[in-house]
Amino acid sequence: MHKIYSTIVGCFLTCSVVSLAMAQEDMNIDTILQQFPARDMAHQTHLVDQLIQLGPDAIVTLGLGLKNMGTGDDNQQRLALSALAKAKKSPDELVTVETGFGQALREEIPIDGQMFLIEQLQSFGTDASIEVFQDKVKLLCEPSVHAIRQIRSSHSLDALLETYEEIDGYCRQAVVKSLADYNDPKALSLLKQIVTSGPASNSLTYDLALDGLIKHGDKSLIPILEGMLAENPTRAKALMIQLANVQWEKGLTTHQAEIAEIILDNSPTIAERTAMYQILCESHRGHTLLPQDFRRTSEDEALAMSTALEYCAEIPLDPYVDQIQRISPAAQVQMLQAIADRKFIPAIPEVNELLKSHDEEVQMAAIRALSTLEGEQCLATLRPFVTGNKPPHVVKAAAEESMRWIDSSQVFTLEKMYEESAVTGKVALLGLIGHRHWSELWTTVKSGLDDENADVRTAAYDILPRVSAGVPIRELTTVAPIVQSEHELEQLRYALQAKSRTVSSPDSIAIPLVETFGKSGRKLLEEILPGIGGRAGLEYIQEGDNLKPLMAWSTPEAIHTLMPLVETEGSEAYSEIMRLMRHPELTCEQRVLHLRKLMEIVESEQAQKDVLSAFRMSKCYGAFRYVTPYLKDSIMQMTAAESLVSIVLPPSGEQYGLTGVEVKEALMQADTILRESDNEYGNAFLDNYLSVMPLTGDFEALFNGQDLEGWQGLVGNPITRDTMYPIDLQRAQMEANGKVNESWKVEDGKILFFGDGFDNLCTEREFRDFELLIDWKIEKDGDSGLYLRGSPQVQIWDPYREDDTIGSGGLFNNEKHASEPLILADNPVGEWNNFRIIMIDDRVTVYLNGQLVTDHVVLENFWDRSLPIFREGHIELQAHTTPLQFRDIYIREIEVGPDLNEREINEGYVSLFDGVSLAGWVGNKVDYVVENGEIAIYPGLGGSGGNLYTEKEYSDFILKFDFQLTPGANNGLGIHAPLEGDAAYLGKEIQILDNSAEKYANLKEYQYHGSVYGLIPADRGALNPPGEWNSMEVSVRSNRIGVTVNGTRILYDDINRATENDTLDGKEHPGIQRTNGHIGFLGHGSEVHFKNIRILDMSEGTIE
Amino acid sequence: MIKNNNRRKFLRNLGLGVGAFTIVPRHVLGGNGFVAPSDKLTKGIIGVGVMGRGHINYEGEVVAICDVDTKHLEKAQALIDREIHVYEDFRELLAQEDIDVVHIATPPHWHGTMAVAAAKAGKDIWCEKPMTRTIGEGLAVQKAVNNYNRMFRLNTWFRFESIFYGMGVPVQPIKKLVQNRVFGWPLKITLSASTGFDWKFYWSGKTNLEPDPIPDNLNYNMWLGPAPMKPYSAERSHVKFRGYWDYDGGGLGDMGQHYLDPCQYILEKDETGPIRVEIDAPQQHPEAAGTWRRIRYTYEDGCQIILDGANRDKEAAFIEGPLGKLYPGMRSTIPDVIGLAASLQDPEPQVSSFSHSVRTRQKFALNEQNGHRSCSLINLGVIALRLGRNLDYDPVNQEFVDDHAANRMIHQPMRSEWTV
Repeated sequence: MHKIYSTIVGCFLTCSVVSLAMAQEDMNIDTILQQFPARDMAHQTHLVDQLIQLGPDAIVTLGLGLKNMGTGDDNQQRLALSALAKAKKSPDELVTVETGFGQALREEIPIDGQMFLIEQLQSFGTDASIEVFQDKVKLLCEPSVHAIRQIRSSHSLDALLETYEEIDGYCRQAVVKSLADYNDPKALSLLKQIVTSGPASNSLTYDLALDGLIKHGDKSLIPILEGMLAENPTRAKALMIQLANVQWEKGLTTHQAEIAEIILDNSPTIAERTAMYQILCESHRGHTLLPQDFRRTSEDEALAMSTALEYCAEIPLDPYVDQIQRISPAAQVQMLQAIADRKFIPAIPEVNELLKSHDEEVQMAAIRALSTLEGEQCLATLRPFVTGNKPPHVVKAAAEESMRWIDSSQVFTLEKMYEESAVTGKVALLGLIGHRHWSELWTTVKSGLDDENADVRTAAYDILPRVSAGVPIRELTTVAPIVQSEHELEQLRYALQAKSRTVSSPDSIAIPLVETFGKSGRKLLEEILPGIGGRAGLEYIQEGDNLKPLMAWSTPEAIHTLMPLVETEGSEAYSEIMRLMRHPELTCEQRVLHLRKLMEIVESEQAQKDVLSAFRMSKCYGAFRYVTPYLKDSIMQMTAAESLVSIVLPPSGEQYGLTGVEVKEALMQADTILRESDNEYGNAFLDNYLSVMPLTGDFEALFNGQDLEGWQGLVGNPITRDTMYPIDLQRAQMEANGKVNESWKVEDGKILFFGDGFDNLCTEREFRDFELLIDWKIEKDGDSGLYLRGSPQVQIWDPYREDDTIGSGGLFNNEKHASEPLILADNPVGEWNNFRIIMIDDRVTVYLNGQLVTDHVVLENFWDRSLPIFREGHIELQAHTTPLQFRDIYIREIEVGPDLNEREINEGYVSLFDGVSLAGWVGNKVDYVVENGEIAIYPGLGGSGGNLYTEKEYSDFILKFDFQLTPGANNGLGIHAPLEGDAAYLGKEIQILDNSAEKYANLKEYQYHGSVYGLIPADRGALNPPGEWNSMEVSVRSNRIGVTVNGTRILYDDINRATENDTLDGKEHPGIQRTNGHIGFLGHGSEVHFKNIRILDMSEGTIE
Repeated sequence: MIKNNNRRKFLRNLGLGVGAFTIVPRHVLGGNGFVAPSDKLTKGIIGVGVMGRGHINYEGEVVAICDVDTKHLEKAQALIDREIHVYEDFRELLAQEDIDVVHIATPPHWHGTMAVAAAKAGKDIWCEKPMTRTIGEGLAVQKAVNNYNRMFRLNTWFRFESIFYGMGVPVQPIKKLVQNRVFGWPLKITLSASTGFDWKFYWSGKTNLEPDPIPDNLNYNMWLGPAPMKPYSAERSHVKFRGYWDYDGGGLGDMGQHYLDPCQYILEKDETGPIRVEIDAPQQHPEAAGTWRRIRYTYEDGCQIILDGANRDKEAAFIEGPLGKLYPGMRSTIPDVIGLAASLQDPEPQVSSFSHSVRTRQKFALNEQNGHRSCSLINLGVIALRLGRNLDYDPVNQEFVDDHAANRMIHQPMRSEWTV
């Protein structure tokens, strides 16, 4: 290698082989270290392997790089060390790594670093590290003790016991805790020692030792706990029970009886007694401490035993069931549960007896037991309990259990049962029908709705909403006349509301209701229709005088009607409007229009803040634009800032919300304002989004709100203009501009048309593909439109100007393609509307007030139908004799697909990427994908991790493309490369790198963006920040390579000259000699986007 | 391991708690399992930060609050208009006799210790998600809840109510379809932005933190509790603890249980777990949680759950089976799947009111058994990420196959006097 020769030649006597090796090793460690964090598992394994090969010394070097918190960046060391610690290692590798860690711990490393090393050793340390851990106990007690414990060998136990003697105070806690993990007499012996010497002399460790002993179920605790009874009987008994449990779990059954005896001798509570019986019956089933039957038991004993029996499968129930009549009702209930749970069929006669008990609880338990034991056969027995005059809870239990055995196909059975039942039965059955949403039993429910008894009616109306989904609307309307009270009417309302949620439009419920009750039942409908909502209902209500139903309307069309009422009716209308603003059907754009209007009406400061606050639900650009200026208003700025954050941040499930430089600046202002507030959560989300949000996607204003700058008059049409001589066109344009003021003016931030002609107002600029936002307003019978690419049009008109009601937003002049909007989405004439128009190539999409009305429809060329629509053109506001208003006009140009400008086409550039596929490319087409007209590399999709190359080979060329980096991204452009092998060495690599990433702060100069990797360094400082697009040009002519980024030349050199002595990185680069090969993107595990890739191939002949 | 299945049921329904203090629940005595409706349940909240203060409005009357930050205590008190007890040390709250239910709303590294202590103190428990920071703690909580006959619920609910994120419907119709094998078996579930599930990667931790002075209002030692002692940094405490392995599991820890618990329920895996977890992620920092691209859980019967953090597969269905697919908004390759679901039998009923659970001693829908299992998915993912490799798991014995380092992460050391 070049480097070695020059070093030896350069230093005769002073250099030693050792320092040479160290230099190489340093270089190697650094190279490896730089690659952390690893990009994926394979990479991590690879790096770990390389590190292990360097031996324990390398690990020591890493350890020496650790720092105390806040004193420097030691991330890469931490990443490398933790990778080494966590990796799966062969026995030899384990020795290497463990030795390395141990040696490192013996060096002078800051304390945080030592703690880190010990923590890492917790994952893999063996007996070999015990000595080191013991050394560190004084300095870092807990981590060291825990590290010893993690080894869990017998040597580690010895070490812990030794350590215990050498330390005191809090450090002992860690040791005592650890001892509990060792099932070893030595460990237990120390714990016992601590416990027997009592809590006073071991205040820090007593409880932990006791806990540990209990976890082992050690029987020697029994006398100790017995000793505790005098002082603290409750605790002592509780611990004894815990001990008995632990022993049981470990399969030890010798001492439960002893414990039971002690507890039962010491005034046990019911709970304690029951626990002991249960433990006994599991471990010593025939034990004399257990009552063998109920003949001589006290009430407590009987209750405890019957509770325990439920779960002691080993003990036969017979002797206890025989005497079930003797015991207390509480105990009977428990016995019944036991019988049911263990499905003890022989008990059926006793259960039947208990059905007659005077105690409700017993009856209920018996009912449930019978149902479990007999199944469907219990129906006959239970029927009288449902239909008869039993207490309500009993009836309910009987009804529930009966229903278990009836399904909705046995409607008849249930209907009969209902008819036979008394009030309580009916009530119970109705409840259950509702609970299961059985609309099949509508007839029964209906009879309940009409019942004379108030309780039955209540029950029926209560469940009405739950069964309405399966009942036809006509049927539901028949309920209206039988309603007798406010509450019942309310339930009907809920039922109709619930029904309306299952159908596609509220009108389908409202219309039949209006048809049936429209004439005579206005009052009724005024109660019911608001809950259902919809246009049809609203129309009907508006015909009356009553405003109350409007104030309770449930769908947002009512806002139009309510708005004028705010001034007359005040706060009620206002509250209703604000409530409707939350409706999920309300689109963002429509909400913005409403809120703007509302803001003009309300007066109080609080109301204005409320309105501004309500913008937060609206995640669209219009909301952003409206709210942002309030950031400067000292009273409103806090509210504005909070709203702005909500508006901009991504909706759930999406990665990005609003984007762009303007948005980011506003968001940063909002951030500053919010920092003064107490909003913990808001700030965390906000900070993160600010750091990742794309800086593309800005809208620009086409109308400055003050004057018509940027607008001009109309001259002919695009075709006629094209045929005019430039000077004639100029003159005509000036004339047209002069006449603009006769029909167009600006007032209060709006563009107004007041003329009576057809003089469109046109943008001065031409646009290709774009997204356009514009608000417009017309009057009755008004007519206008938007011309795109200088051609008509997206229609604007009064939908009711003729008999057929067709809304705005259609491509009116189309003949072959759709020319009408999909739905009527216009606001009432005289109110503002909003268009969002997206045009890409020849297809137009229109959203009117947020609703889709034109969906990717081709805009035909009105001026010459034999041509497709022009590729670019002016946007025009159509004048059509009627008064018009426009405001808030914004545009965002969209770049899609490969876009060679004319000059490049003329020069002979050819696109390498068609914008939709990877045709012309070979290699890793799994990680490299096409998306949104870009080529994106997403590492980890499952591809080989390999590169993407052009199919063709090139020798001399100029390659131009755009690229967008993510933070820390690392990619590369291979040139003259073969399809296999490392392009950086077998061909040449032009580095693609996010220079600004912290982890790249200390790279070699030939590793930065634009450099010919390893060979020629490039200048830095021309790159845009990650998230923004850059343009790049790479020219290769013979031996000269030039690289330009964002218009700045950052590299130009002759490769032979640059490498005539040796390569900068000291490595072999056979690719220097290659003069022909593929061009490729060399993925290095980062997400990067490319587009507009074009090449001027100069491989044959030369162009100077 | 509990040997006798009957035993578990006994302990579940018994309702007679035995603990270090006298705690037979006030309303379950002498067999009359019937609570007078006027008997309101009382609760104490441990951890009254942003989440904890939300618990004030849950069912039950607050009679005590506890926090290691006096500012939190002030804010919480301002929201409650009556006299309550205020504590800094949760052990004192647990000793208060008239508390029925303890709400644990601290960062996850405390959940295990507090839940076990609460069970021993005879309290029923309402715990924030994720249930526990380690699998070992989850096992200990299960044991304590069982041994002391407590009722336990987690603070997530999608398996029994509410709209399940991007699916646009509650879990119930989906469960019905799956239960009737409408899509066949086994099934693959994908959780990604395209199927309506946002993995909140902004909960990534920062590295190279600077130590900050500990604020006067914070008892940092108690805030840390069982977590390792590291210098205080505001970047790593309130709210932001989510980004650090010492306390939580990043975005996976935050949303994991909300998303994954219903998936386990739908796939009928409530009593078991996956046999393999595979990851695709950049190397994780030993202290700070980072992003990941993909995590895949595979079960023995072939079912899979895929967490597609990078959202690469935009066409993925939420559920994919041999007989059909189900997409967000209940679109499906099977016609009229909504109508079909409505006509199917309801799944087994679940107890969806915790007060009902507490009064009748019937296990809540989302309890320490199935909650631990779904939380284990999170912890399996976390361990795989932190180790940087795929792992094989034995869901019966709940330990890893042939991976010592992974097994050492099941039970992790706890600082100071804290145990579980």
